[in-house]
Amino acid sequence: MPARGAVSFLLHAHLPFVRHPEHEHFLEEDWLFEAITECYLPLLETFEELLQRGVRFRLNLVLTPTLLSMLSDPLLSKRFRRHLEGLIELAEREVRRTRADASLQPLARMYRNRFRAAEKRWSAGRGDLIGAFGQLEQQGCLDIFTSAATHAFLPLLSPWPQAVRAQLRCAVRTHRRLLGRNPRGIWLPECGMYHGLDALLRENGIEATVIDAHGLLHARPRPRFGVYAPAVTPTGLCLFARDLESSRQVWSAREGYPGHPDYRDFYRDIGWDLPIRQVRRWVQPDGSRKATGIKYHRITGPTAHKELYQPGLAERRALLHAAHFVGERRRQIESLHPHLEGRTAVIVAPFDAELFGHWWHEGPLFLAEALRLLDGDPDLYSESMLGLLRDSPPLQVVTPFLSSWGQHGYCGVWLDSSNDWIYNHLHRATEQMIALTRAHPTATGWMRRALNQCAREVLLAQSSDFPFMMKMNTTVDYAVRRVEDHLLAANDLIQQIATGRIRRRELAALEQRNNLFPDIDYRDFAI
Amino acid sequence: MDKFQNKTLSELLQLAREWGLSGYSKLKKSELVRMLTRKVSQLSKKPSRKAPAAPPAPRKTAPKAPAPRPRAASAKTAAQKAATRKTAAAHHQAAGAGKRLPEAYQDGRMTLLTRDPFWLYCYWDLTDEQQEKLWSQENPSLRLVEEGAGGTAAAREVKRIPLARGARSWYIQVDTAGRPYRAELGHDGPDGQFQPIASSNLSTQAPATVSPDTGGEFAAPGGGAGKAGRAAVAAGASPSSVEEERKRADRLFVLSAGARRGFAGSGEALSELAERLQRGLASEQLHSGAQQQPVPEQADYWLVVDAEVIVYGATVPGSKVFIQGRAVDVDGGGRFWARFALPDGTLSIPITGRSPDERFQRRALIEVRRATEPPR
Repeated sequence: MPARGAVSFLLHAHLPFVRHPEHEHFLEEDWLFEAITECYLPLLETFEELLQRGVRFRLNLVLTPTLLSMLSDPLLSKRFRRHLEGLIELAEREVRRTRADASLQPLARMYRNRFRAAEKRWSAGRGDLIGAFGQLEQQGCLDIFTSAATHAFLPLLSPWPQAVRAQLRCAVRTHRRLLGRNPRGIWLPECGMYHGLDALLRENGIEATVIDAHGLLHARPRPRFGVYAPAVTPTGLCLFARDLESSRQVWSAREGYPGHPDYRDFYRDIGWDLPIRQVRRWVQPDGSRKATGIKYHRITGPTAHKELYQPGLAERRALLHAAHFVGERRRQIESLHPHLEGRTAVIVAPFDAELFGHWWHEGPLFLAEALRLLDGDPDLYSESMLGLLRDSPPLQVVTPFLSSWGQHGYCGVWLDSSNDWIYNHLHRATEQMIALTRAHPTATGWMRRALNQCAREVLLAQSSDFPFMMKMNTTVDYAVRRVEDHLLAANDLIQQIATGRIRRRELAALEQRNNLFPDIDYRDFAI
Repeated sequence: MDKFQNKTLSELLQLAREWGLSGYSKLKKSELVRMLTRKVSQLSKKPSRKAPAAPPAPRKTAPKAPAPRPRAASAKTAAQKAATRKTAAAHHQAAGAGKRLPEAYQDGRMTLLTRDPFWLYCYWDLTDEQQEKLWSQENPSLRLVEEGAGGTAAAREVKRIPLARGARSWYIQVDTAGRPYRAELGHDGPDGQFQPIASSNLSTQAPATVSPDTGGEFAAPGGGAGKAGRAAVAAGASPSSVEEERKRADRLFVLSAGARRGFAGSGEALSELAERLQRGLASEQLHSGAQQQPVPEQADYWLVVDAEVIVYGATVPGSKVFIQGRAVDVDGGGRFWARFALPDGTLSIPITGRSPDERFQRRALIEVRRATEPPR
């Protein structure tokens, strides 16, 4: 008899490509360094520890091509190392500074020990996070999904199937190069599906993806089992849908676990709190403040006053929340079971990986405990999507249409008055790229290099991260500049290629700077 | 020209930017004056409405300092948030240095994008010739047509929107979701027949409701490549009647929509949930840590309010108008307009008008506040 329910966690690890060799220190590169220290390394250790303890678990992890590219970049690795050593030094200073303070001293020690442990794990694996996650995949705990090459929101590229293909082909190639195998599953950037995308995914060997709940519920014909069974498109792509109830328990600002008063507060950070002379080397070179990663307070409540963090209290809360989460899933499958004709209820819970550890400090502990409890549950188990397909009964054939997991469920986040100005430029460069590919089917030498770099710049400009930042009004300057820089570079190259006069020195410099996808092939833009 | 000599360098730079000139940022004042003067004489020779031409001359980008801003996120303290906030408009003002993208490419493209089931977004970048044709007419308009099934049936006109002169994009509302639409720019001919000047691609379909079709074809997953590996299989226990099948689907639909347990799927409540899904409300608050939308607390009551702000007005023809620091088009009759989305919070829209000779200036301020009460 099959289990009554399966919980399929998906962690979506993604960062836009941020690499600025032209500057010694670059604020936005911290996104990667913080994510490695606070999220990727802790998650890795969480999984390795579960494996050691003999817990049976399997889940889905997305490593996007831009993140893979940054994790395998020697310059960024070197800079991460420097960043981590700086953190350890700061934590050691904090241990000395808080010597006489019995309440702060243990917290300072906690950070010092944690950063030292991160350094140890990083060194032990020679900085090869990709290899470590790949190892877990081979051991059967993880299925690693890819995403579009630069996390482009595909529905807004849908009038140019060549561009969508280029995103997918480049993604598959990068995944294969760095993880040694073809990706079988894909996380669509922002969960963005549209009518006809399934055929392009199948062309690239993709077997499964996730769409938002209404994406499946509004598919044609109506899915008989709601979001609780995967379906398959006429071209053979398996569709899993996000379960809103379990998502809400973790995501929601009001009801969600991460907002509990016992958990560590993300915003109170010694980079903002301490007198500037004590943190000068850890904030920005011009003296503007920034978060350092050392945070001594807990959320406490919706007040400006914050109590000190109590690790024991937070740990207990994370365990309680995990038990609550699993209990809720048990009750959920009880109410589903009578309607599923004996099928296993499939509950898909996708989250941004950076939530676990970075925003929600105790997130990895929550996840470990939830996976442990699921292993011990008589009715439930954790399973990856590909695992669920192995012994699956036949799936209903449905055709999905446009949907995303953004606000209001469609394209409004990436297309509104804050960011709609980019599309004329973006689409023009995309069209020009397609036309150039057609005009130069067999370029060689410098011409080929120019076409390849132009393809890189066009792909980078298509990242959904930039219109998202414009819409959310966060780091807008940086987002605008990135879109403009990539499009200006692409426009320049387009002109050089059209006239046949390549400015070699500039091109070489550009290749050095935006160096991702070394095996890119501009002909991906051919139909 | 005296008109330019009396200005400061930064005013001249501003003008050059507004006029879409390129390669001006490193020029000396005298060179800038010459450049602007040349531009004016070009314009007077060619009376047609000319948007700025070709992409800027390639030039090395000046090294840029990293943006001194903390990473922003959801529940920041007010001070941190204030330090982070900066609008795109402000950026366009601030980033005077370095190359900028051209205002337009004038290659005659017209693109229609589906924003959601009920809104489309159309932009166009017309050639000189097309612009001449369009704006010289009495009734320049944007027409939306629904393509016939299979491309055989005739296209049906859905709506015709009169355009403000100089408009370069438009958000189009439609009443019927899930249809294939195409947009056209043109004007009314002598017989009332629409005379198209440019035409867009076909938009992506986005149905907003549950399919009435309950067909039940099943196939083995991973059945090899595409249709070949697909085999219709009968579903498990076949439902005794169509009615029973529908009820079952209804119940799972309710559960799928994240309803609270124990919630019975009565017909009425079901339609409310359907509505909630249509508006995408069921998902909106769940996107990411960076979005903090209130959650409908109870499945049996919900409320959603949306708003957009359209600012419009008129001034002396030939004047300049800046809305939120960005120059807006003022048409031949002196009319102008701009459109803003209105998220929660206070939207501040400063408007500045300047007379053609720059002697007069007047300001107006519109502030709109939107506050959505969180559910209790």
